[in-house]
Amino acid sequence: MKLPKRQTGIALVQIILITSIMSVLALYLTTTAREQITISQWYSDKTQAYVKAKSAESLITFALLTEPLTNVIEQPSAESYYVADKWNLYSKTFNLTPFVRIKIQDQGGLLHANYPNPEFVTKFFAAQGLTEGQSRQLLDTLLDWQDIDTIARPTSIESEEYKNGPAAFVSEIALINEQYEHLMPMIKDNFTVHRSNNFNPLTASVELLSALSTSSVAKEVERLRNERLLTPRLFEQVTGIKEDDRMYFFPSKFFSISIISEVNESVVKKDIMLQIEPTAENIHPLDVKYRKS
Amino acid sequence: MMKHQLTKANTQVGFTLIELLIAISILSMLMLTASYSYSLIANRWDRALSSYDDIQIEAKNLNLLKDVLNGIQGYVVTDSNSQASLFFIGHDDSLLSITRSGLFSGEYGEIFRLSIEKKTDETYSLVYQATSTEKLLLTKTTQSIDFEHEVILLSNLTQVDFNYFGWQDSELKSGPQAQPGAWYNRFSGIDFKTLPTKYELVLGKQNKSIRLPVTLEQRPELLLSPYVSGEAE
Repeated sequence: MKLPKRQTGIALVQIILITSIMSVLALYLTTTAREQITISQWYSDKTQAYVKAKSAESLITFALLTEPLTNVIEQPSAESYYVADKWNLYSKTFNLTPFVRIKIQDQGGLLHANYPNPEFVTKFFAAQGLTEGQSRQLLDTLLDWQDIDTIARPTSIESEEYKNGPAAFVSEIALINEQYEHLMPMIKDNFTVHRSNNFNPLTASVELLSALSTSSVAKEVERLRNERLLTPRLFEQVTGIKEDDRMYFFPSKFFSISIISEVNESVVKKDIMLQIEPTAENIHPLDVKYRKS
Repeated sequence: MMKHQLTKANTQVGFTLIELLIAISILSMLMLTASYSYSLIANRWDRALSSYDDIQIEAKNLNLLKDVLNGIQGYVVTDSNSQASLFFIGHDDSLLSITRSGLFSGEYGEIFRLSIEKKTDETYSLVYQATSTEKLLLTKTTQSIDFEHEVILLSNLTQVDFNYFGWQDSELKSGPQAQPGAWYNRFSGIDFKTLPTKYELVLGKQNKSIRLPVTLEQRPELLLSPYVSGEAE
């Protein structure tokens, strides 16, 4: 009986080397391909998120132009467009679709930074912890900073360094006085430079409502409008605030819309400022003041 | 007999010189072929990757550019005679204005300039310069602007063209003297006291072109009224 020849030679070493080289190459190609697929997936998700945000913008714009805005804080009627089942005009986030979250703020519910109502603004500043004197001084400075005259108000000064024209961004108010920098987050949330008609407290923030009435009243208003029960008459009963020449219980023509569209890890965020004139003649019914992405 | 064979097999250890030479030669040839093939594949792969990265960066910058252009809003400045106008100076190859969607300023407005830089190979780079309004309050037409940031958004372009649609006088927009708007390759908000209602940027690269259309606010001239009537007081 012959025993098989003993396997000798260098074949094993060759195989190991070649296999190693092939493995490194394959690993490199696989890793790079996987990275590219991930990036491509991000782009695909981003594109989807962008398209969903665009669709949401169209839906909301169409609803704002066609829905009776009197309904937006009450129960929508049977004929209402389906967006009206979900939306609100006081910056409370709602889901338009599983991928898209929306916040709409009627600019009428904010304090006007260019033409501030002295009573509302000083009350708001006082609610932020300023004394009556400080509130008055900040208001005067805000007015002197923006007006085009050279006459200073009692508690303020005039300066060539001032804007001497209406603020174009609410963030510009931060340049007025560093002393009040800590108020800026609240000011940014409650002031606007976009509003042509009067103040609408029905779409104001809880902080602003608290400043104008009491925190318990503000919370009651918040509860009622969250339950879509708030009507102008009920608001008047709850707060004691009545419609007058400074405020109308009706949304303005200006709306800021914040859209967040999320698809997997990709997020598209858009802020849009619209002016709507659905019934005006010879004027474009929709004027986009700006888009921020 | 079996004992004899076993003894013989035990003595066959190691390789002969010939075996080694042949094995090393074959191995060397294999290694050479493998490394050559590897370098070929790796080079091709690297080129593909580099091209992919370039396209990815270009797509990202194109999106940023669209955001900047869409974020332009009316912003009033006054001249030495206190005449108010709108901060927008557009030429066919450059644009100076203010945007809410700046690349560096977050929630603040951003003063920016888009301009082109011609390269020796006759291609263009689109350069974005910007500074935030967080610390700079722009009020005058004569004010100097130092741009804090500068980036090349797109390069190797063969065409960069801005076109503006609007009216050279806001009174021609509507009312009894109304006239249809027109396209211009130069539009100054300082001179015309208004903004174009829309404009477009056409970018060309390697026989392909892309058009970025932008719609702006329709009645920006209303921003000037406080300066005329003193409403801001």
